[in-house]
Amino acid sequence: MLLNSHERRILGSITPIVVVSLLISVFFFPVVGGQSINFPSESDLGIHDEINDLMDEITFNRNSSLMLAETQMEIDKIAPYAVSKEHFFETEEGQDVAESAIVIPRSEAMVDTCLDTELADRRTVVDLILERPDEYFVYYKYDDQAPVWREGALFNLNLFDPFDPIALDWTFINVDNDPATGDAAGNDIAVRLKFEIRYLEITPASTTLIDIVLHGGLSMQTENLNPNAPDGDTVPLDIGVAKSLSFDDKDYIVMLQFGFFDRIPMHHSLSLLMNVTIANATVNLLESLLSGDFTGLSEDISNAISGPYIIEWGPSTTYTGYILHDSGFFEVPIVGPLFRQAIEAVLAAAGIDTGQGGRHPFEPLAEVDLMAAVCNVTSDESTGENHWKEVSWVAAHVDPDEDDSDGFLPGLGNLTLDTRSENTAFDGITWFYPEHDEGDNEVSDITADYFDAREGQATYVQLDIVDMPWYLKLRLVNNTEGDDVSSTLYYDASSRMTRVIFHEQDYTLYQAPGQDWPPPVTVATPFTELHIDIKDMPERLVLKGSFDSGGSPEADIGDGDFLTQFLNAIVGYFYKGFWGVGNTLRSISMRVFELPGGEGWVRLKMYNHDYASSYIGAAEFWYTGNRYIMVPEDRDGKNRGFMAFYNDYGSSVDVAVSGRLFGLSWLGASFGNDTHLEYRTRSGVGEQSFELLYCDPHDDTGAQQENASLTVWDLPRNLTLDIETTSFHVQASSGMIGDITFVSYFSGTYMMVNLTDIPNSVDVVQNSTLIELALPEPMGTVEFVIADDVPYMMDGAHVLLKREVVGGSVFDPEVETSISGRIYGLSNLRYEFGNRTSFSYNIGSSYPLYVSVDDELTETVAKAVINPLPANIELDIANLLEGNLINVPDVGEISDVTDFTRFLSAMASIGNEITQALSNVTQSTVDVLGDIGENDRFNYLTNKNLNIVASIQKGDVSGLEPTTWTHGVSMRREVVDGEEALDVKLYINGMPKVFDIITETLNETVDLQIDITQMDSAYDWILVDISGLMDKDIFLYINGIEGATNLNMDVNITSDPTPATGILQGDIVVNSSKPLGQLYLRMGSTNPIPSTLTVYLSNVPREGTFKYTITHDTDLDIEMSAPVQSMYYQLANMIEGEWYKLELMAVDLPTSFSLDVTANPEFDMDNLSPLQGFPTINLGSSGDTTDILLLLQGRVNGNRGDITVYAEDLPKGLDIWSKEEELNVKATDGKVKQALVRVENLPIRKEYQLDSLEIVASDVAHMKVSVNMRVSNLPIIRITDIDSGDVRIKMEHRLQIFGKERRAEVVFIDLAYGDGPIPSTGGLSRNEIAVDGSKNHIIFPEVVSTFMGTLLGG
Amino acid sequence: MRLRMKGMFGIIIIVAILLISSALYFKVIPRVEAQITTVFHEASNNVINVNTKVDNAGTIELNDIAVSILVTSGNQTYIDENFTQYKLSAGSEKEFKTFFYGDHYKIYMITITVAFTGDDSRYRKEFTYTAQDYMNIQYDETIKEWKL
Repeated sequence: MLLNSHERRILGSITPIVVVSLLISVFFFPVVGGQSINFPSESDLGIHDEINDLMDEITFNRNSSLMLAETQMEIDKIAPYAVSKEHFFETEEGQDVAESAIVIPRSEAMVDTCLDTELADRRTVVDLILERPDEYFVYYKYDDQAPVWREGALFNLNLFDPFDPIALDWTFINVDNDPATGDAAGNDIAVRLKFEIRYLEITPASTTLIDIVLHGGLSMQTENLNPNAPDGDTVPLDIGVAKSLSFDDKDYIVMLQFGFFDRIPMHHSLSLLMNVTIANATVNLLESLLSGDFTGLSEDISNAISGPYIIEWGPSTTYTGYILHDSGFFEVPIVGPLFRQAIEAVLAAAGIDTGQGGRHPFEPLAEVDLMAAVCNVTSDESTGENHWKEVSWVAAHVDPDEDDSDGFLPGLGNLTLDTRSENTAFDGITWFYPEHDEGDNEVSDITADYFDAREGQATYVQLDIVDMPWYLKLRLVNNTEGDDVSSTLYYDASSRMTRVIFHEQDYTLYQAPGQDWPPPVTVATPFTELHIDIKDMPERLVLKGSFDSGGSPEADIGDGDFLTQFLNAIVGYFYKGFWGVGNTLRSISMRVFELPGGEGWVRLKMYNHDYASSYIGAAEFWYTGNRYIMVPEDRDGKNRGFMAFYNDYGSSVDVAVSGRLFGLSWLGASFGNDTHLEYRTRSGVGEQSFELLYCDPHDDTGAQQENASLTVWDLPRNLTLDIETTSFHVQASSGMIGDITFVSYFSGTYMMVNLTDIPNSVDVVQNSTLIELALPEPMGTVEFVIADDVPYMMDGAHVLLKREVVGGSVFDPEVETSISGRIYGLSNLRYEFGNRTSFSYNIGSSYPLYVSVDDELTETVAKAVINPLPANIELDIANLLEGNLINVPDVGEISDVTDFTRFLSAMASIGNEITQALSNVTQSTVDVLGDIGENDRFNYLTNKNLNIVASIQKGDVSGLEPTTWTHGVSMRREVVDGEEALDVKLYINGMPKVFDIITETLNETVDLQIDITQMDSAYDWILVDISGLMDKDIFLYINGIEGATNLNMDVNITSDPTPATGILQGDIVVNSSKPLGQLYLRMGSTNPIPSTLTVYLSNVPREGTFKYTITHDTDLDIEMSAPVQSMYYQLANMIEGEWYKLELMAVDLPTSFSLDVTANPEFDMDNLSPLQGFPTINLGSSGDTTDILLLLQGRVNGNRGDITVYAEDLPKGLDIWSKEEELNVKATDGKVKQALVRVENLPIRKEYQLDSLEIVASDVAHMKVSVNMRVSNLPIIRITDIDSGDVRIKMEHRLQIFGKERRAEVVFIDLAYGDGPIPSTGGLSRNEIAVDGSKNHIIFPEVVSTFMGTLLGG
Repeated sequence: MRLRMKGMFGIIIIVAILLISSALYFKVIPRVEAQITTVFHEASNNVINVNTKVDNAGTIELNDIAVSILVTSGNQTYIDENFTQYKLSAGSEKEFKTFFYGDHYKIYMITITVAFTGDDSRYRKEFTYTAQDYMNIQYDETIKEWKL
């Protein structure tokens, strides 16, 4: 306060006496104080004592010996141990991986030597005509002597030679060059080719023309000339004939050969029979036919040939004259007497009018060989040498079945090809022994070879049949209707075949320079091999499916005379017919295999003759280029079925397929948009396993690089698979599917998955966002282990991760990982990875789960026990698996048998992905612990209250404060220079049966929803003691949690305590099934500024709603189901290295409480009242006994001054508001029993600073206070409309006088007055005012005394 | 006594001269004069008022008055308000009020820009202050020009 000249002059005019009197009076004025109240300290209201007692309780609880027994001792049970790797098949060669060897076709001496004969030059039609088309060659080979070729006699063209048929056309052979054996001339056998007619039907077409139907063909006949036969036979003997023919515009050499071992039959023939239909033929034609003069005939018979085509072997037929009878081999129906007479005349002219015809007696043979070949010759233009261009031969060795009653083959057999339907490749093919021994169902064993070479490619087939029945028929029916293509293949045999082995090799031939072609012994790689081995074929089999059985083109027999055409037709039609049957059967087989790749269906049924369901005993197959998988037939007493894929690099086959099935009785499959597979096995097949195997050696050594096996133990008898685009359903007819074990070695990773007691159905749903596994009832065990090197497991249900750093660099470490897990009773598994990534499961029962993580890469060691594991859980794992989704094989893509290859390799690759994912989960889990609350959802449902014990350490924890076991969480975390150190101990006893927590975090706002049902712990308290979590320290302790408790909390809080600009906002709803005890919460944060929040409640009501907003305005609303005895709230901020606090304490907090403090920004610079901008305060309460204590250091929220407010017995309503210069205080429904307001450290202005202003009042009901600083920065105070007890105002302040700051000694004059204007009392006081609350007051400073007092005493 | 009368007369003469001078100064001698007062005031609840008053202390009407109040602290701007198109006759005044919620313990830079037209002349002046340490700070400025 400065004195101007005028003031100085006035002051100078006052007498010194007055001055001295006034000065002295200042120091002797009495302090007129009101009632003195007891100002509460920070420990008052008893709250700090309560908190201190609570801290002692916490210390005692967390260090008890019982706690150690229930935590550390449980953790110590976790002890991983190394396990050996499972090998369900050995991939080393010579074990379960076999290697195919190229089978060199056995030599056929007749074919091999034919090229050196004159026959090789008979390769054009012109040649045939010039050289006599009826010419043929005879071949024989006796024992080990060199083969002999001889030009044969001409055909016996006279079909019905009644005189001496042998004399004209037989070729006589002295096989052993021994004149003592054989006939008189020393010849041992006679051989010939002969036209043979078995059936002749002549129908008059007109008076001069006839229609001729002839059933017959060509016969190779052999006569044994040894009068002592069979004892003097020269055996073994191969005897054959060869003939040049032409069809399909090519010249062929056709060979037929018989091989005799034990004896040579007296009369034997191999006949090729077919039908020839000639319409409108003249009688001359018939005459020519019967006379054998074919050369003059030019009838086109290209359309006259038709089936059935019959290959017959057995006794030769005999012809001694014309035979007319109604049945038998010769039948000549004649229509009309005149025509009959004409025909009979023709026949008579041919010498055919009487006699008997038929077959020689059946002769037993112990074994026999048959061979037929069709070859095509080309000639080297430069040298003129002949070479094979096409070679095709089939040879068979037939033995009588070992169980055959007489040990000999039946005397007559035939193979018939029926091709009546134009739209079907063949109608039927029949194997028939009409003369089998009665009672002998299986009459022979057959070993057959087929070789075909042309255009650089060759096929070699070996067929072995054990117990070939006496009757076998394949019938093909085309069921196609419109666009619905389907066919049925019927197999019907007189008895079950013991074994059928089909072995086919296809390879590229290599022709060495100067070598004849084809060179069957020189094979160029690669080659492919198909092998099928069937044991115990059923009697009847029906294969029906959407495959085409369309017809095959007939042979083009060309032009030429009748004889040429007829000869060409016989061989051409037979060759193409039977060759077509083979191709058709092969194409049907391939079509069945190819069906899964496209659309279609197939059903395979098996019957007995009585149509009872039957089965295939076993079927084994492989399709390979070199190596393939073939495992032993049994394991652990079980039949071992399998399907295997061997990825044989460098082979002609991308993936070698092999497999074995037991007891298949029914198979159904349909493919298209959806896939349906169903199989049935016979009862009594015994326990069997089925394995899907996959091996990818990656190199030629067969080393174990990548392989996988999926084993189904105790394969159910009936199983159905339905594979749709997004689902996979497996259904067993009854019982259980059994156990499944999956083992793989993939990219150096070993993986084993073991599933036991799988119920009778499994459903898998998979789409772009979901994978779900559903079972009708819990399965036994789900167990897996994945390891780079040594696999580790633990006892009981567990999850284990062990990762060791074994080399590499810091930036690219080389690690070895082992992951394992085991759970029981899984019935549902769900993995969703769309907009949210969640994981859920359902297990039938509860049991302990042990978790162990020992990860050197992340420097993490974690051990946990969950007891019991929740029966149901749904876990939101978006943060855990972020960017690391596990790519599960798409079941919808399994539409082909070979798709299982990709499925298995994809399954195996899962191991790596799981390793990576779980490793990241580990990292993420630890990260989540350090950054919890980031938009997570975690919930579960269980039927038991589970206990969790966990210990987690990451990084170097030596520098952290030690954690201790407690009921709750004890966690220490620090990040120094980017290196995280984390130490957690977690123990929760009696976790709720239902738990659902949802957290969402956005900037400084956290939304938290907690739903807890039936939490029932052995402890009535829980402690969360965390430091370094999301830059926060949390210390939360709640007690009084007794018995089963439900709790529902919905919390939305925003926490930014930045002074002035920050916001603290909360919306908290708590619902509990019962009231809880004390709650103590202390939260510390370093972001955005270092701050702490402390809350203490002496009791937590059952229900409560807490809403608060603290910015520049404060809005607090509390609704509770019961009062809170005492409450403590503290907010502390560190600003410029110093802590500043806001503390609020309350006792007897009522059920309803609200406080609004609203800022008042009104300010007028001409208004000299310091009450300008005083906020509006509204207090509402349901009680009137609440005491509060507020200790506020203004800087904590960016306000000047420090404030202390104490109020005892707050009324139900209290409103404080300012209006112009006037401050109104009004209590409703009660009074403030005692109140203290103290304001400190206010630098009002440079000239005046208020160090302390303390107002103490009692029984305050209402008052109005106005303050005006009109007198040299000193206040003039008016108090009106007052209803209060005594009010005392005390100040400590400073004034600046003469440029020097001085402690102010303000002398106040207090004039009290009632209703009138005349003051009733008055008084003086220094720096303190005490007023009577029953009267109005005007209080103003006495300037002179104040000046002097300040000047002298300040 | 005469001396006392002379003294009294002298005093009267002097007072008359002062009164006349004052009257001439305040009411007669033409000039443009604006007194600008700015108050920085910290109230409770983080309220900070920054008001500027323009007092036409001259003899000439001020037109087209524009007042700009800019308050910053560091890189943050708390107030950036412009008041325009005001007119003040001689002897009248106008207070321009602004406020914001801020930390009382921060240092604020206050920039007041005043512009007006008087006697067909345009006047513009910018004043810069630093507010700290006290809850109430007053800044007084004058823009004046004689128009004789």
